[in-house]
Amino acid sequence: MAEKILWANNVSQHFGGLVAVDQVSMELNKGEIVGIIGPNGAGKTTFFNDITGMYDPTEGQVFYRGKDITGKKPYEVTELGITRTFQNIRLFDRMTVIENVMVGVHSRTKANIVDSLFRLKNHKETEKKAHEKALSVLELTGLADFRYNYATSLPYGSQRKLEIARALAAEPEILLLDEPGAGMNEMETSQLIAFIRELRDLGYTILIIEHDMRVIMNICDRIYVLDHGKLIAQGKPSEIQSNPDVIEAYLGKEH
Amino acid sequence: MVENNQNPIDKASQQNLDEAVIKAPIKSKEKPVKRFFTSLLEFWAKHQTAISLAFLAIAILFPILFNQQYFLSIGVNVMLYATLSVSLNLITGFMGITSLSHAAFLGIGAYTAAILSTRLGANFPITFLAGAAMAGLFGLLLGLPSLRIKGRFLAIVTLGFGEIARMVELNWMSLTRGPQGISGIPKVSLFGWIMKTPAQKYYVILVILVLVVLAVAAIMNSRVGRAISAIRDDEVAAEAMGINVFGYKLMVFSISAAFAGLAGAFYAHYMSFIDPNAFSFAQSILILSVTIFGGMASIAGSIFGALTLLALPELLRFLIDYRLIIYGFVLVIMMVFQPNGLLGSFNLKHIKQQAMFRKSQERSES
Amino acid sequence: MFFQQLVNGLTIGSTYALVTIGFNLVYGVLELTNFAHSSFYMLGAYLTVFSMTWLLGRVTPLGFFIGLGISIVITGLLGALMDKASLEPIRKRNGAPITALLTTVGVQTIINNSILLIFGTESKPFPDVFQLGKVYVGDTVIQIFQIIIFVVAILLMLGLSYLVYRTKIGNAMRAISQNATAAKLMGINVNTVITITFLIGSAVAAISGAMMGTYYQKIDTLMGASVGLKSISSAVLGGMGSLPGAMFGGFIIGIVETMFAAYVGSGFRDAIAFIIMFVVLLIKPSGLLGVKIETKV
Repeated sequence: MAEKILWANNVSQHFGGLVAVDQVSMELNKGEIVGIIGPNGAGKTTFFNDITGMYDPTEGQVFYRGKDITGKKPYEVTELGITRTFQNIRLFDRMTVIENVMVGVHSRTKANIVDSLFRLKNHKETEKKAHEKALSVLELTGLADFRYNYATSLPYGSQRKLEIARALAAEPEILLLDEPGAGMNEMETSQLIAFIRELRDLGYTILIIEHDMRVIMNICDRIYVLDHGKLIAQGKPSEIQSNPDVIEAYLGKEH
Repeated sequence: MVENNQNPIDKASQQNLDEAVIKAPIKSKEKPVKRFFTSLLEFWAKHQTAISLAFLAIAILFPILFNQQYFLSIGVNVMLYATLSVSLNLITGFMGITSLSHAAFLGIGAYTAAILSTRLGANFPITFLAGAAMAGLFGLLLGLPSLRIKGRFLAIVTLGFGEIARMVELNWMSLTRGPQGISGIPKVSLFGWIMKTPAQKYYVILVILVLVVLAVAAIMNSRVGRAISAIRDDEVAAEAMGINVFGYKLMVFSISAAFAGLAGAFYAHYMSFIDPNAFSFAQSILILSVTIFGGMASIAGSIFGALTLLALPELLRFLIDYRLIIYGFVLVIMMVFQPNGLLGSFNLKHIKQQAMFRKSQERSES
Repeated sequence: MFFQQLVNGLTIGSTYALVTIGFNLVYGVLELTNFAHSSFYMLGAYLTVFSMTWLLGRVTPLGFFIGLGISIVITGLLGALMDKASLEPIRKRNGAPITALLTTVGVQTIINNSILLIFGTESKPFPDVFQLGKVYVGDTVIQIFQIIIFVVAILLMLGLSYLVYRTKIGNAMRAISQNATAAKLMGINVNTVITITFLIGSAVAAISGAMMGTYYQKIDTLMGASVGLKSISSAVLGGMGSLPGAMFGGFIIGIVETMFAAYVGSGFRDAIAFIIMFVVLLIKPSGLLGVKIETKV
């Protein structure tokens, strides 16, 4: 039987009178790739924010490995083993590629300010580990040759990859990808699909928001569909494709 | 939270531009002037330690070469403002939080040292440590409620704090003697050895400056420093990468205040008289002008800024009356044309890494 | 006793309100904390008295109004110049908000120290050309000019509100404050409207300066600094960008300050405004009448 590691229980997020996420429950098993789809404004990113502690859910709880993580701060959620990327690329502009990824290693190292002021052993170990980890992740993502360039000087597709690389450096068990394929061309999308599969083979569990159905239908084991904040369908890709509610949500929105 | 203002169209054109930049061969037809500056920066980046030591040597030799009260007092002034500017740069340049209350922390350090030395007969190292600790404590107290506030509102809060601090200095008569100020503050004495000549005072502030510079450099070249830079560039992403943003802000704000307090303790002993006027809003603006002029997130910039803004008007005596007006123009012109300051647009560490990486690539190709 | 303090507090509050209204007009459109505003206030007072006494040599109500007219024009134009020369280039480059804020700090430093250099540090007499006398209500003394200051504060608030909510330029201002990009696409000349906002805001500051000079019968180079910081407190309390908020914020700060001085002690009266500001920013940054500040990930 599958090992359930993340579980959202009736999570709601209200902003004043607006209900952005309405009683959404979902679960994620170890080693799965699970997709969240839905029209624009369906509450997908808000739901990510609820899981990762960016927002405090109005109702409901989020459990990670049996532990209630509702209302934890984003940095605590990352420390526990859940790391995310952003829909609108949020790299550190004035830092180099390798520094961006070294920031990702933050939660897995522990040199404090005193260690660094006096260049103690802890500082040296931290620097060594951060550098090595960053390099290995950059090699995995194929960005190693650009490591001393500024993050924003990379082409768009590479910036998306760097977002993932930075998240991987935090050594997460669960990776939350928010529209990693947005703005990518055909070739980049194919590479992305292969890369996400590779990540699963490496043992990461992945929750992914994506508009590109090619990505979703190709890689996801299961899919959740949100519309107007509500969960309207869930199931295997083949089931979702033929689900009348889903078709209505999409076509009703687009036509 | 930080708003995302990158729209997709900008991104797309940015992308084309970036690809063009990346594909363009290095050492293309750059203008000779630009190439000269690039190579100059690379030279500086590669020999940073040696160049810093050379400047330190000049600073050490300065009192021997120009052993006159007048020159030494300019030297002290420059180094005092360099110390303040480097410490302000830690929060404003490196971490991106504009503080308009640095003079208040300078004042808290100065009053702590003045009161301890005139009332209790304390001296180095107690007055310096206490001045720094007290300023750091107030930094913590100010930061605890206010560092969750965003951007310009935070700047206004720090401004308010600076004013409240000055009101307290003006009105708590029994402690600060109000507008009369505190006079007769003893000179720095190192375990009985009194620093009374101008040159000796000069060396005291030189040591403080060197210590603060080393500390800030050590902080910035570490895990903590990366967290600080990440917070400056994108708080939301920094938090998502496991950084306790509020905790770091609080720590760095407090450290920065403590360095200003250390400078304040020196100031009290050096001047032997302090009053609230020295720690006004205008003083905070002066420190901020030095930091911005020299360069955001640049230690060398802060020193260069202090050297230019504090020493230059002395050399051009006829400008002395116009000094504050010039600072105003400096601030405006910098903001309009070069908001990162003179040396704030380059990161020597990055330049060095890029140069060395390029060289290693060229070597492996040939 | 209490009513006397209330009258005095309301008068001081009116002075804060006068300065804050122009400040909030600019803030409302640009979300810019304009530190130079208090300098225009001081400049307005100096230019009025300079034009009236030295330029015209007429210390009469007519001389006052002509002097004030000259002052309004020059101060307004300098405000517009500040925007054109320093703030517009920053807007065009899409600079960080803090960059514009520091620019206004720079302009403040330039104006304050220029006036210091030209007129010296000692305070200058400002003749009271109106000599309106006072009235007694019970044992409370009210100067007629106190009433005038209070009325002018309300009139300015109403006038600027009319401008912002009922005129074409006001519509443009509000459009810009909500979404500058959309306003531009709708054919509004964004930069011109903003420059006009600075022109009006600075001209209003000149009126306030002249009123204050007449009331206190002297002006000095520090008058802008102290009132300027208080007006930022008033703006924060009333709600940044709100015109009625500016007025009420000013009134409340003035009254609280005066009451505090009368019943608690005068030592820390100048700190009250900042403590209020501090508390408001921590508890309700939008102030009493301000718009809620949206945050977004």
